[in-house]
Amino acid sequence: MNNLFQKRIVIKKSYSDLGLGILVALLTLYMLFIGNYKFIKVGFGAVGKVDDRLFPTIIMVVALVCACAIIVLAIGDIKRDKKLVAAGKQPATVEFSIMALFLFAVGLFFYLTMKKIGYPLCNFICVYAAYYMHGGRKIWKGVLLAGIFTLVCYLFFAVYLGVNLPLGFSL
Amino acid sequence: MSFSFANIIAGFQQIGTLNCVFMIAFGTLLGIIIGALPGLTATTGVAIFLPLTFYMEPVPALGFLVGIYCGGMYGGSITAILINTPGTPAGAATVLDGHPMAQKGEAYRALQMALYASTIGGLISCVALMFFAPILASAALKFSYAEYFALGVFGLSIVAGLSNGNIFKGLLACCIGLFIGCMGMDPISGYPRLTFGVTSFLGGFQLIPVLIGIFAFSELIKQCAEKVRRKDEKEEIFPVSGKSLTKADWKRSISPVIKGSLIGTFIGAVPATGGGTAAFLSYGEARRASKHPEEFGNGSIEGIAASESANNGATGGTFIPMLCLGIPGDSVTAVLMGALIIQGLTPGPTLFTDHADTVNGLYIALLIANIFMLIMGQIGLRWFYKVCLIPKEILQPIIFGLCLIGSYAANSNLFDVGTMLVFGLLGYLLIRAGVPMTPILLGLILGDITESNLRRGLIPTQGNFLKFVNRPICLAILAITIFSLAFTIIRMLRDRKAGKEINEEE
Repeated sequence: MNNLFQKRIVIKKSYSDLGLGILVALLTLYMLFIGNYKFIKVGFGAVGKVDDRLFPTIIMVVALVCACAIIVLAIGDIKRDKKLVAAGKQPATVEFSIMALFLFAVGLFFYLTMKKIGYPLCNFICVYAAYYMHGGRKIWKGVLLAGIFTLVCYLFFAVYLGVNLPLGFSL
Repeated sequence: MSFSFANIIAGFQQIGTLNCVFMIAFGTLLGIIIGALPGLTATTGVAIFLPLTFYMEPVPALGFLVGIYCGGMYGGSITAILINTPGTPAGAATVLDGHPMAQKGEAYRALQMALYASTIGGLISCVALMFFAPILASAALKFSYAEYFALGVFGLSIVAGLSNGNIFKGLLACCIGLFIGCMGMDPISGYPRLTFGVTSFLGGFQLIPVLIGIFAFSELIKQCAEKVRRKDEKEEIFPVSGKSLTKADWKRSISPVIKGSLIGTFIGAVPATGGGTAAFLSYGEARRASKHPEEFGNGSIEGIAASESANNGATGGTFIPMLCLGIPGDSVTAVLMGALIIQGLTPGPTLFTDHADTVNGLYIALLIANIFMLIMGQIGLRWFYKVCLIPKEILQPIIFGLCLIGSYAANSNLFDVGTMLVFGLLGYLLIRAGVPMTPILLGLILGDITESNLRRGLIPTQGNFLKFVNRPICLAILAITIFSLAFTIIRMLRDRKAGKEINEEE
């Protein structure tokens, strides 16, 4: 399990930039030619081109220009990286940790189950899971941490501030 | 609308409740602790604890957050001195002399100077804020839609320009923020826009979950990933030992402290700069003016005085553009701007006319936060560093839990939790790809103002943009925007070329 948490995707920075540029360029092209017409209806008070679509269109055009610039610069970086590799040097890399997805999944668990099983139990599980993912291995310590934190949060938010925190199980 | 002692008295009246004073003190204490924790910045601290302020009155809420801001800026120096790792980016310049002093067994003296310089810097910048903010705000009151549009574009371009190395990524971040801001209801026609058929998108994204997602949750994921990498690395913490500051130390340091405070205030007032830039500029100036420049980098008390006074001096300065023009001075004030909006206050010159009491209260809160920082810092000088010893496996689950409850508590809506998670993951991926986060928030905040004013100006002229250009102030702001963007792009391309040449020579 520990090895799984430590997994990371390492890619060259130039390729990461290229991927980012292409992704944004495709999305902006879609929005400019299809999305803007499909998802934005022109309301009352539109005068000529000054309508609900104007500002999103400006944003998309600027984003497209930026994406193209990022692609051009990334292509330059790829060429430079090749020279660096030929010279026996390491090009700049970017790391993406798998841990991000696990932490997101724990959050998703909170999102999906909080209403059903209630805040106290749901938060307890999530905090304990986060404790475990951060390297905590002593069960009593994790239980104590999750328990005290949940209790303090419940008392502060639900009892003191009056936030509607469900207890779950139709309670 | 100008500075007067009546404003100060009105400010004290706003603050003069036990609850308010307690909130400022609590915020300052939390800020010092957060600042002292490597990896947690004042921005993250303000974002995490922002949900606690929903149910408070504006002045105690802002006082609490201002306390976190000031405390966080000082707290960064503790770890910078003792473990050679700045708790906040603004504390990076303090490492240069603070840590060598700790190595020589003079950590106590270094921490004392950091505390006193931070306090003086904070107080001077607060006074500057009280004097200059009303003047700038009264000038800005004459602005119309054209100038506001130009200011919105200026703010966005300036923030984008500060992205590390690649301005296009900064601009892209702005566009992402602006696009997210466009989702929901159109500000002029009131028609649903870019909702993709999802009912929950009708109201647009709430600021708080987005803010917690991109500044706290994404940072948590980043820390988490870093921890895996640095599993085997252990930090060496130097003991808080040595003698106290002497008169000779003060004699040497008073000039760098005053200069640093003024540099910090001025640099802080330039949109999108902040304490980090101010600290390095002040450090450079102190070294240039010092009689002992050779000591800089080897444990100079003047170096600590200069950098710490400047980074805390920036706190008041960063409020000037945020309060007067609605353009944040740095990432923390961007988050604080979100806090103002949540409290129903719109940053900008009208804030000084419509909510003058709150603004006066904010001045005094900043002043009191600095005084609390001095008191708490003095009491806890020998043991604040112990927060660095809190294991990450205890601290990070707590932050994670606070992110979850914080995003839910605002509207008791689970959709906000989902928003926070998605923006957190998106933020992490974008940070890794080198896209800065602050412009996203700026885009989200400034998008509405920029779009509304653009369209209000264009509708009467049937879309003729020349009406904007005919207004001298608007033209000047747009010209500065284009110039600064062009300058940043040219500089970036030149740096890249130089880097390429160096690599080829190597």
